[in-house]
Amino acid sequence: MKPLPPIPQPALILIMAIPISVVLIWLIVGFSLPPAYWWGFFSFLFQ
Amino acid sequence: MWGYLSEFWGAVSQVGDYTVTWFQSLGNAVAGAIGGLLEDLTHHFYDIFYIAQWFLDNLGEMLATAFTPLTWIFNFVKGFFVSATMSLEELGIEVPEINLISDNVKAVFEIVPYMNLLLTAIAGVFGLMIVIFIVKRASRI
Repeated sequence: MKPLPPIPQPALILIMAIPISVVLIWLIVGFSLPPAYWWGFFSFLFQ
Repeated sequence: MWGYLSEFWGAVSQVGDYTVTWFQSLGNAVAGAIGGLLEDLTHHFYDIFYIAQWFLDNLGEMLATAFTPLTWIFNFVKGFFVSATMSLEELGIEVPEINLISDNVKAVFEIVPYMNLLLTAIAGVFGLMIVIFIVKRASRI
């Protein structure tokens, strides 16, 4: 099988930056909410 | 910008009471959304694994069915030899004790002092005689 061509640098930065920034925004917004939010989040995950 | 943000926050806070249950429900919804996203990604792989499992299960069953006559023959032969070489006690059959020498005769022999020693000596002498006989026969060749 032929090796895949390397991902171009701008695309690589976007691929890494978008999920990281989404998760960071989610964490910041989440920490500004009352703890009941995280309680609900983890109670769903470990139900 | 700040005016817009404060107006936005005012609109959000005017919608209703944000209770503890509301925030819990929000957390539940976010976790459910993340879980659903992962489920969408993994569901197809699980489907493929289930198909492979189903196929291999049926293949194994087909092979087992195809080999049943051979299995029967093998089990019959094995069972035959196992039961043929079993002792009567293992088969659950009561075996009465058979005494070749009666208790009276045994008692007479047990009266003789040093009977064990005598028997051992006699057996030893017989053994020695047999050994000498074998050596003599072998030396003749």
